[in-house]
This record gives sequence, structure tokens and C-alpha cells, in this order.
Amino acid sequence: MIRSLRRRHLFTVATLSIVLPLALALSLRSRQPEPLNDDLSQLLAEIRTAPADAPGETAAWPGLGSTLRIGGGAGEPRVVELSPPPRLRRPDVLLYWSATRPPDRGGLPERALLLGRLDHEAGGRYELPEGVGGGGFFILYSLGHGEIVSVAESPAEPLAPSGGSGG
Amino acid sequence: MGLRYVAVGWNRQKRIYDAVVLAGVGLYLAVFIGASLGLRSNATIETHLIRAFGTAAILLLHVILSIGPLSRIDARFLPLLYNRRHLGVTMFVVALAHAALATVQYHLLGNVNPLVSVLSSNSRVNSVSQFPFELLGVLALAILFLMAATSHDFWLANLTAPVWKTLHMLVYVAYALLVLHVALGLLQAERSPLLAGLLIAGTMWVLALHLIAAARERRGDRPLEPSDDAFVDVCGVDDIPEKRARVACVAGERIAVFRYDGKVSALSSVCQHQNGPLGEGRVIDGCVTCPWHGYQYAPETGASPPPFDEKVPTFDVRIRGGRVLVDPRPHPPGTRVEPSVVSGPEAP
Repeated sequence: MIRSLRRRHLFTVATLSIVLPLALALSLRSRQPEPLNDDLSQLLAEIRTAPADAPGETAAWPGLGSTLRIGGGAGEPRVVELSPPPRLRRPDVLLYWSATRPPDRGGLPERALLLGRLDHEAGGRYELPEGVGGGGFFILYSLGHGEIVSVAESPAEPLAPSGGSGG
Repeated sequence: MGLRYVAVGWNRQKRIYDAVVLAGVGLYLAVFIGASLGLRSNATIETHLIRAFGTAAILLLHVILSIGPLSRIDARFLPLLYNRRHLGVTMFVVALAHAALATVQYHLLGNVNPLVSVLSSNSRVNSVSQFPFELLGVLALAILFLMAATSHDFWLANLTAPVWKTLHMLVYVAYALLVLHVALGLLQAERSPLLAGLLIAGTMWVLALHLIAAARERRGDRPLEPSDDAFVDVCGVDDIPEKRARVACVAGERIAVFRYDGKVSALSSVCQHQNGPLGEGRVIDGCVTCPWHGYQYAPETGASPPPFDEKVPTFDVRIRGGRVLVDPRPHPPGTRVEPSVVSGPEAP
């Protein structure tokens, strides 16, 4: 190798000897922690499922082929029940409730409340906290795709005590 | 050294070299895919293939970058240098397979042209953890393609040596891009310390080898000063083994003083082919033979035997008091210089 090439090699390697270790250190240090499914399972396990056959109001979930029923109250746990959605083709859907309608483009509203995971075969029954249910919106959200799948308006009427027939 | 260019100048050594390389790559891919299917059975076969080809390519690049400095440190590695360009082309093909599979897997099923998607799907250049690492791979692949496409003496001659060498020194840029491609890509998701450790170890190995080889080479660049009559005292005659040379730095460049058949001649130590170290070669069939690729030069003239036309500069040489003295002023390449006879009358 001629002298000028040796110098060029030396300059190149010396530069890499400084740049590469710094770049490697920076890239490894900047790694973000990955969210694990275990956290979500624990979170979902904390949400109690509602008792069966809770009577209440029933409404159709538009475009989903499913029905939404809200019932309970007056001493009984207030629940929302979603029948199995035959037209839903997402494996990773969660049910949220929000007091405001989510925007057409964008993610979940900031104060959306997670109710639970949707089972495609059995549907879902979810207990509703105080102040949740009437006058808001139920949202189906795909966790894997990070997008809203469908929105349904919850019945505007206040929840009636048990006595009405289910849908 | 052919008068006409052929795609590959096959010989037995090249066939063995290529067979070993191909077998090695095939074995690596098989072992990697088998092991990853066992350890990560939930990943798809496409993922296993992408990782197998990717790791094979970067491993090959580390081997390729190690050959040069290893050959300077220990001559036993010189046989690996002989056909290194085949290794480089193989590495490019493996890297291309990795890139093609990754493009199909991650960019083919959208509504955007997959090549456009590779270049435009991630624009988060201001983030380290979400940096568009695929762009780094694309750039490196482009460099490797240029190198693979010009890995032939045809291009060395027609691009001229300085241009060709500059192009092929881009391998260091490609290497840096690929290290960052892995660090900002795979290692952002894979938290195994083993993977990070392997990448760091490989990088340190390549850099350390180059720095060690550079330190050894610097010793050979210490220039010798001429005496009163402008001749430089290189060494004692007996310091030069038969059919071998002594290398010295004279007037800014290295010269080789060969001893053969009771005579001594001096010529440039820089092979005209790819600047190999002629002085580390030996005289075979009456010709100085470059240890890198076997290019030959007559010691008296510095010219390749016909029909070849490579030439290197020659230098006047004399023997006085058992010492070899060389005039640092070179003659034009191919100029005949009468060799000094070892046992003949000494110069005044």
C-alpha cells in the first residue's frame, strides 16, 4: 500500500474508532422499555365482570350486528352487556367508555375509561363505575393497530331500575 | 494479469476458496435457522430467514475487514487475501437476500410501492429509538453493490487505481452504516445483552486489528537519510535472505532490495496492480512476485515479463563494505538497472 493510502486508512479507522463506540453507546442507551402483555392482563383482571342476566335498556350497535344493554342500579351493580359481534374481524379489541365522542381521526379521548376486553364468542359484561353509562359513548378500540374500530352512543335516558325486559 | 478480460480467472485455489465460502455460508444459514426455529418457534419462517441472511452478511463483512490487517500482522493470513473479492461479492448477495426478504415481509402488502415504502415509511430522524434504520441498510447496500459490481481488474484499469481505490474504501462507510443499522434496528427491540455484546465485540475487533496493523506499518515508514554521495545505506548484504528482500523507506516511499543468484537489485516495493507489498514477496522463476495476487516483475528492469505490461520504478544500487547502498532517485518504470554482484568488486 502506498503511503498516501496508508494515511487515508489511518484517518478513516481513527474516525470510526471515535464515532462508532459513541454511536453504539447512544443507541443502546436510548432503547425504550417495551410494554409487556403481562401488564395488560393484570389490568384487565382487576376489572370485575358483571353478574349475569342484569336487566336494563337495550340498543343496537350500528354496523356491528351486536346489541348493547345497560342495566342494574338501585342497589345492584350497574353493568353494560355487549352481545357477540358477528361482523367484527379484530382479535385484540378493548371496550372503552367516554363522556365525549372521539374525533373522526385520532386516538382515544384523553379521559376514556377502559371497561375490558371483548370476547368475540361470548361478548362481554362489564361493571360500570358511578357516573358512567348514560349520555356517553362506548368505543371499541384495537390495541394492536392503535385505532378506534367502532363507536356507539350509549342511551341518553338515565338508567332505570331493574324491571324492564332485556333485549 | 491477462491481456483480455475474463469474468473470473479460475484456478484451483480460487475454486477451493469459493467452495469453502459457499459451504460456510450454507452451513451458517442452516444452523442459524435450525437454532432459531428451536429457540423462537413463535416467529414466522420469514423472520428466521431475514435474520439468518442479515447476520450472515454482517458476519462476512467482519471477516472481510479482518483479512487486510491480519495479513499485515501475520503473513499466514495472506491466502485469505488472494481471493477476497469473491468473499465480498458473496457478502453482497447475502445482504441483498436479506434486504429483499425484509422488503417483502414489511413493505409489500400495503398500498404503497414497497421500495417507496422502505424509503418513506419512517421519517422519525430526530428520534434515536425510532430512527429509520432501514435507510441506513439501503445506503450500505448501495455501496456494497457498487463495490461488488466493480470487483474486477477491468474496472481497476478503466476507472484508474485512485478512483477505484477511493470507491472501495467506501467499505468503511458501509460498515459504519451497517453497525448502526443493527444498533438502531434489531437492538432496539431485542434486549438480549448477548446480541449487543456481539455487535460491540465485532466492532472493537475490526477497529483494534486496523490500529494494530497501522502501528506496525508506521515502523516501516521511518525514512533513511542519504549519506554525502546521496546514496542511502539500506542494510548489510548478509541481512537479505536469498530470493527475498529488505524493505526501506526512502524519499517518501518504500523500496525493496532483492538478493538473488549472487546479485542485488532495487525496485519500488509497491505493486502496480493493487499497491501490494512487493518487498514481502520472493523471487520465483527469476521474477519478483507480489505476495497478494502473484503479479511478477523482473528485478533488473521492474517490468513484467511479456506479454504483460505492468512496470514499477527501479533504483541504482551498489555494494560497499558489505553494505547495500541505494540511490533514492527513481528511474522511470521499466528502466533497466545493472544489478550489483554480491561477490564482485565493490563500488568506490
